[in-house]
Amino acid sequence: MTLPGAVVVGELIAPALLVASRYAVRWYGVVFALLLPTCLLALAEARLHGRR
Amino acid sequence: MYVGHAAIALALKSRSPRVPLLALTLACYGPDWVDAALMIPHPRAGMAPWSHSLPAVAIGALAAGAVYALFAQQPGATALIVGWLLHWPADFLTGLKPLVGLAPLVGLDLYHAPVADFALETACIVAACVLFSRSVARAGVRPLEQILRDPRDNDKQILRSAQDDKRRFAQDDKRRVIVALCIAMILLQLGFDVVVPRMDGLRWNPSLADAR
Repeated sequence: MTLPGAVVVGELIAPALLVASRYAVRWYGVVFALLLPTCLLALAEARLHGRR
Repeated sequence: MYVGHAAIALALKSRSPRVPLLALTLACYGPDWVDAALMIPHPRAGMAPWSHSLPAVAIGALAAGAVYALFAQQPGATALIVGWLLHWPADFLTGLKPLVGLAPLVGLDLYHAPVADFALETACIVAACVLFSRSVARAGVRPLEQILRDPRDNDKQILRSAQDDKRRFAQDDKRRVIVALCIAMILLQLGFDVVVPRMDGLRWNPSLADAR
């Protein structure tokens, strides 16, 4: 990797990726936490109606 | 409240058996889904009044009821509205939620007293599962009672006894599913109460403690 390329990756892209991944982790964490009980109840209802 | 909202959905389902449990669950978690939507494109501070304040909860509940009535074409919108509205009092017990704007935040903040939160939500889960189990049992027995009301000949008696056995096994199977659901919900809540209070490092701070 050339020096300018390393600067672009190091100074611009990497921090942006870090921030984006932190947001993504938080957002997916919330959505995952909401989906867990929702899927649990949906699964239970499906089993109660004899669907597998 | 976390799994407690799902318990509210189960309790409502026992009163309104025709409404799909998925719709009730989505309504009971409605303000949290709005919150998640408001995190797009990135989490921002000060969004709570748009999802969890009293006016936002009321508007969201009416919108959910209207959407259900429009698309489902069957009764049950009231159950969804009640489920969405109950989100606020349930969250009042476990968190700090806005009344109208960003301040004041009110609530008992049991998220930061995890043992009390676990006890409360487990009690809700068990009570809801008992209610739901009773409603499922009632729904299963009804056709048999109709047969019993009108016994005509010996063939019907034989059929009745066979159906009785079949139904009893089916009821046992359903009871097992509900017990498994109850255990899974309690474990989910336990995981939540172990992890979440450690994430922000804040101490228990019920809003009533601020009164001077």
